[in-house]
This record gives sequence, structure tokens and C-alpha cells, in this order.
Amino acid sequence: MLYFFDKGKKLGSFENLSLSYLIGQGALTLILFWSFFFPFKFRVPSISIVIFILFVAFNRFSFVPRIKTGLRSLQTKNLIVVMLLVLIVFKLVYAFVETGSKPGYSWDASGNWTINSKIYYYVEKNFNDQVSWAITNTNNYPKMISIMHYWLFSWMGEADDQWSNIFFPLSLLCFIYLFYLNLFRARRDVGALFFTYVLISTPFYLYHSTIGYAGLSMSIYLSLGAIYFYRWVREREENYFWMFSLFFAMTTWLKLEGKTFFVLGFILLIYFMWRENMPDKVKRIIKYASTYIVIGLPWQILTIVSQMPSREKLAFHLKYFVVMHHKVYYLLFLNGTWGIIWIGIIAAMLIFYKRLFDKNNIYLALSLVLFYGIVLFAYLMTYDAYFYLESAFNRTWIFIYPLAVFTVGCIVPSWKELTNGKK
Amino acid sequence: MQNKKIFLPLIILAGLLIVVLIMMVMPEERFVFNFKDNVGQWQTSPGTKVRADDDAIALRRANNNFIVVMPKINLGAENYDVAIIDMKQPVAHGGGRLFFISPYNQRFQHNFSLPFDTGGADKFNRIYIDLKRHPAWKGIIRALLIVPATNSDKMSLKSITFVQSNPWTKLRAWMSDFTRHYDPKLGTCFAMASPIFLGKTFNMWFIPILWWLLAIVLLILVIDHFSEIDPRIKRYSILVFFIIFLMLWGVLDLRNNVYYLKAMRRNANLYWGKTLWEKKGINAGDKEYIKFMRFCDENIPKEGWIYNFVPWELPGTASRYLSTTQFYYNMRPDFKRLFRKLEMEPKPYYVYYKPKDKKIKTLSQEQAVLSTSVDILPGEELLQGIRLWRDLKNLEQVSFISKSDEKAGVSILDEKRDKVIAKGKYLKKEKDRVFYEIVPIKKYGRNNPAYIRIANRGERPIDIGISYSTEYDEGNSIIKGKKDNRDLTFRLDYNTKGLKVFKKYNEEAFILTE
Repeated sequence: MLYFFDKGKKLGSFENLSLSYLIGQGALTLILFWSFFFPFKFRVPSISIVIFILFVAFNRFSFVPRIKTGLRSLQTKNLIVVMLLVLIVFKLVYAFVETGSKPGYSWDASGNWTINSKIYYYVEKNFNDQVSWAITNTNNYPKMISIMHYWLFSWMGEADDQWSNIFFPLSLLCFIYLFYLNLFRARRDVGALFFTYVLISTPFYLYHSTIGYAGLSMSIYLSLGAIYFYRWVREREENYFWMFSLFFAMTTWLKLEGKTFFVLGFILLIYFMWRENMPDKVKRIIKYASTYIVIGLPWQILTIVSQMPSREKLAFHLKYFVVMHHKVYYLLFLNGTWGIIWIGIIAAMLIFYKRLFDKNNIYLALSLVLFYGIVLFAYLMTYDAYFYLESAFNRTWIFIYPLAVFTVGCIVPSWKELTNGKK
Repeated sequence: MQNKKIFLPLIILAGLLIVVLIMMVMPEERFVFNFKDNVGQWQTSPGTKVRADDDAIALRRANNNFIVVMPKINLGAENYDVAIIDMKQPVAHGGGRLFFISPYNQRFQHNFSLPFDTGGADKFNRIYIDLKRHPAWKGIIRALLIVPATNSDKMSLKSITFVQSNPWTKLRAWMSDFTRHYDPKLGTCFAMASPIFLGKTFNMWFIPILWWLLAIVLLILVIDHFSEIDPRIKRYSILVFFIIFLMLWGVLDLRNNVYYLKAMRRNANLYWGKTLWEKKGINAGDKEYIKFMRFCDENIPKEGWIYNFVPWELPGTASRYLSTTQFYYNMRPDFKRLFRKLEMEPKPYYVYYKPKDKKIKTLSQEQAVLSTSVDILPGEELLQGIRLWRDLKNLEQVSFISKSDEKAGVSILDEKRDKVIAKGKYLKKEKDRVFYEIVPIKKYGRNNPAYIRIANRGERPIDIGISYSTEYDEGNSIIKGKKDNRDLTFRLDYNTKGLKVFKKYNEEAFILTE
């Protein structure tokens, strides 16, 4: 896919690899989803062979990769850089060890995601002609996570719901690299590494890469959508527009909330095109919408046609406005889940507000504001979301957390500038 | 000048060392309770095997209750602010608890206890506990109870020492609290507690300070905006804020890294080298249960229609809502809907595990999740779609949750909701659960859809417990005449007439069939 989108070959090898993994996860699960409507044996090996052939045909990797990591520019003799790298690696090691050690024990991981995967796996094994039934007779949640588990079960030869979680820390690893790379392009200093370390330092965030919840994946796709939008705005390369569109579209294949995030991306696009007075606005919108039509819309249509039970309906609970904000304050600042990061984020945005509203960073700020609007909408105006003030509400902030850290990384000046007052 | 640069850190280091040494040698009062020397002044849970081992006692667990009690310790709480337990366990960094009875409580209770981290595996660890952290550690402490980590089948205890601590011991107790490892529980995916720092949560200490500092910085910025002040004031105020913020962040991250190290040690100790099923057993808190689930999966034919009678309230499990305790999330999924679609009628298999009543007089089918309640007004009714797990003639009673004393009209309707196939007769109320005896009127077979009808024929509203969960998939509800996504919280109790044992795992775990 990246072969087609990155015609100018602007992506470095490791960036290509990381993007391939994340976009590939979405694409692979879509292919498998469509294949479920055709009962055939050896589904997973067949699809694997086709993908391998395509990979070989369009391979962009040599065995001596062009290492455009951005890490070469770091002075590794610098003790701070070494320390930060060690800390980041240590935390990633923890994520992998935790995932590789413990079987699943959390509610949503078992009850929403892996149970569906097991249904596909066992139905295919025992009632192969009923696989399409399996897809429409599980919950109405989009299927990227479930089908990814199914893919891994098939390769492992058993429904091992512990090792199938390994794609979460792998996603985190790819994301950490992309986060650092894009922030480095914005800052051009060691601050990019520092903020990458800050991102991964929040225990709640790191923990969510080990428990099989979809929160981390959603945060990755949403954040990368906004980050690549930001990069497209700054560098105006077409491949970044496609990265932005793809990542936002893939949020709709990940969780129900993805639809609102796709609209968030759409608003960013409209605002940018209006502000810059871009030509071919309609063509651009069609390109953006096409990613949803290919990725998210089929599932949406299927849920409607199959009359899958859904709680997606409007119901107003505006009287909970104050309660909700009280909860926001308590969860983000007081109870310890997020440590003290959010006060740092708020402080940075208030102190460096001028930088927040500059020509390019304005889009990051807008993303954060729109996200907040989505949260208000979801918890105050939909069917029963406000009941989740005691459970899912805290996890909702995981979605925007990396983008908030990225935004702070873009606006906080370098240490030299802070201490000397000079750039 | 260069000499000054070298000497300054050395001087600071030397100064710190002297301070630490002074703290260490400051006097403190200790009361040591040695377990081996005080036989008769402590007890263990029934069945626990005890033997003397050098200067310690070695205990081996007999059942789920694995504790050591000192029933008449009679300690003056004001005299001692730190406890040091000398203990060895085979599992690293487990979560133990020290319970106490003070003037504020009459029995051992969870909220009158202090957690501790059991330290590294297979060696004696000195575990420091800051007793003063608990507000009820006052007056005369009459009794103490130690619960070792739940994953440990054995432990060795040397002593518990009560200390009127010097600063060094106190610091160690605080550090112990701050870096305490605890296994994430089910609710951790919702929130994580702030670590304890100097007796209070870290966030409660520092968030208010940070807000004040931020307010000052913002005030300076506002003043600067309206009347330019010396740019150094602005710069230094921002720097001070971020330096303090980063220092606090650094301390917190250091603590988190220690936590991760402990977690990895624990994982290696507890999980590595074990099969997936052994790991699931550890996680579920009931290894036998997981082995039994495996037994069921291997023995029940793949077209078997499985009815899961594993009770929600299993011993040692995390939560009644935790899916990992239930059959379908641990083994094969539930294929009832597929069998219905294919119009198959496979043989039923009833999976039973640790029944409260070992003679198994009843089999219970339930939608146990309770989220809220709905008021059914006079003249209104609630209908809940069900699938019978046994023939109607075997259905003995239905129950649901209601705080009202008003009696409802309860009946069972057929699939089309126009024929009454069984009538309900009020039986009893236990706490908030109301029971109705079922008297069948017509024949109605297993697996057929039906409806529980609860009608308010009285003059006052009846509140009825319902669930928001989407897990229940054996029928829809109709509340006050409208289809509803919520479901009734109910239980159907069947008798066991006509059932025979298909396979037996042990006396407490078996599979029945028709």
C-alpha cells in the first residue's frame, strides 16, 4: 500500500516499516473480513501467500536499509540522550514481558474482543460454511481487533488469548518510533526524545498496551491521523495526506467512536482548505471520504442490514454536565491514574498559548478542542454513555493523550531557549 | 576553580552520608514478636501445616484460608509507628495484608488493614509497614492478622517487630509504601491509584502545590501582557515551575520503574515456564476450576449444547462479573445461536462446579448483571424473553430483584406472548430477591423461547432490577409496552429430575446430561 501512496519515496525505511505494520494491520483484517463471506479452506495460509507475493512484487526494502531514523542526528555521547533511550527501551521491555507472561484477565478484552475471535476461529474449524454467520452474530463493534486475534490464533493453531495480545505492544513500538520521528521533524532537537519518553511514562497508558483493550490502538490511530495531518500541512507532500486519511478511516474499523473521529478529521481538512484557500476542495474531500467508504462503511452497512443490536442512539443527559466535569478533574488530576502529566500539559498550553495558535499548531489545538466536544457529545447526548462515567470515562482520555503530548512537544521551546530566552 | 567543581559534589555526598548515618544510629524502641519463641500466642487457619525451621516457622496452605493470627497482642499503638515483618514466600512481590483490631473495629475487616509487598522470592525479606498511615492505628491494638500473598501456597515467618522508629526506619517504611508492587485488579483498566508518599497519596500532596505555582506563573504572564516587566522574571518563573514539575515527574517515574522491575520479577516467578491453562488457573485464583474447564472442553462433544451452571460466586475469583471465570471465555464459545440457526437439537450438557449444595437439588439459569432498576406502575408490565434450559415441567421457581413489598403478578408466556404456559405463586423474599414458585399449565419443551411476565396489579409502583449489559442474548425485553435494550435481572431454578452424570471430574465438579 505504501508503495502506491509514497510515490516520491520520502519515507525512511524504519518509518516505512512502522507505518506498514499499523496500516497493514487494518488492511489485513479488512481482507480477512471480506474473505469470511466466502467459505474456503486454508483461508489464512492462502491470504498469507497472496500478501507475500504482493510484498515481493512491490518490495521497497533492500537488505541494507537506508536508515533515516532521525536517531543518527542524536549525539549518543550525550548522557541525557542515552538515559532517555534506556528508559524508553526499559518501559517497552516491560510492556512485552507483561503481555508475554499473563493471560487475559480484564473484562472487555475477554468479553468484547477475544470472545469474537474465538467464535470465528472455532466456527471456521468446526462449521466452516457458517463463518459469515459468525461475523454478523457477534456484537456490533468494528472488527479490527477481533480479526487480528483470529489471525494469530490461526497461525498458532490454538485460541491462545495470551500470546495473541502481542500485537498491542508491537503497535506501541511502531507508534513510539513514528511519534518520535514526527516530533523530531517539528522540533529538530533532543526534546523530541524527551517528549517520547514522557508519552510512554504514564503507567496507565503503558498498562493499556498489555491488557488487550482497544484504547491503546485507538489512541495510536487517532493520534497518527492528526500527526500526519500536521505533517501534511507543514510539508505538503501527498503521501502524508493519505496517511492522515487512512489512519482516521481506520479508527472507524477499530471502535464505534471511530465515526466521530473521522468527522474530526473531516473538520480539520475543511478548516485547512478554507484557511489556505486550496484549489480542488471537492476532489480532496472525495479522496478523504473514499478511505471511509472502503474501510469503515462496509461494516456500518452490514450492522444495519443484519439488524445487529446497537446502543447508538441519542438521549440527552445535559444535567450531568457539572458532574461530568467534576469527574474529569478528579480522574485527570487527583486520583493518580495519570500521575501529574495533565497539569503539565495544561500548564504548557497556557504558558505557551501563543505558540499553540500559530500557523500550523492551530490544527493540533483544534483537534484537542474537537475531541473534547466529542466527549461532551458522547457522554451527555447518547443513550447510556453517561453510565460509563465510573468505568470507561477515564479510558476515553487515552485516545487523545498522545496527541496532547505531541502538541506540547511542538509548542514547548527547547531548554536553551527557555533558559537563555534566545532561539 | 576546577578543584571547587570536583569538591562540591563530594562535599554534598559526604553531607548526605553523614545525615543518613546519624538517622540510622538515632535511638528507637523495638518490640520483637518472634513466632518460634511464642508458640501458643499465635494461631493459623485450620488445616495449615506448621513446622519449625531454623529460627522461623514454615507454614503450608491447606485451603483458601491461609492466615496467621496473633489474637491477644495488646499493643499500644502510640508507642509504635512502623512494623517490620521478616517473611519468606515462594512468589515474588505478592500482595499481603496486615489486619488489626483497634478501638474502632470489633473484628478483622479489609478497611482496617495495611497492604504490603512481600519482596523477592525464596528468601527472607524485611518488609517495612508504615502503621501510622492508617487513621485507626490508635489506642490499644488487641489483635493482628497476617495474610500472605494469595498466590503463595507456603510461607516462612521469623518475626514481626514493632518499632518506635528513627528517621531512617521511617524513611524505609515510606519508601516501601511508595514503591509497593500490587497486582492489577479488574478495575485497574478504569483507574490506577496514586502511590502513597509520606502517608498520603502523591497526587494529593503535589497537585495543589502545582496549581498554586501555575497560578503564580499565569499571573506574572498577565501582568507582563499589560505592563512589560523584566523578561527574566517571566523566564525564571516559568523555569521554576517546570523544574519543580520535572523533579516531581522524575520521582514518580523512578517509582514507576521500580514497580515495573518488580512486576517483571513477579511475572518471571509466577508465570514463566507454565502452560496457558496453568496461567489461567493462577489468574482465575482457582487452578482446579481451569483444569475442570479443560476437562469439559475435552469431553463434551463439539455439537454439545452446553449449559453453564458454574456459580458466579466462586471462591478466590476476582469478581462476579469477570468473564475469565466463565466457561465460554476460557474454552470454546457458546454456539447455541448457531445450533438454532441450523435447526440442530444437540444433546444438552450441564456443567456444574462446586455447587453450594452438593446434592444438587436445583440448576440455576440466570441473567445476573444488575445495573439499575425500573419502576413498573400499576397496570404496567415487564416481559423478559428467555430460552428454557430444561423442559417447563422442571422449572420450579423464578426470582428477580425488587425492593418493593408490593406483590407482582408473575407468569410465563409462550413465544407469541398470547398464552400463559405457567403461573407464578409468591413464595418469599430474601434481602432484595423475590421468589415465585412456578406452576406449569401447559407442556413446553427445552430450548423453546418464552417470556417471563411481571405485571403490577397493585396500587403502588414496583421497582424491578434490570441490566444494561449486552451479554444476555436469549431474548429481548419489553418494558411498559416498548421493546427495550435492557434486560431483567432474573434467575430460573430447575429441579434435577431425570438428569444423570455424563462425566465426573471429582465430587465437586461434573457434567450432567438428560
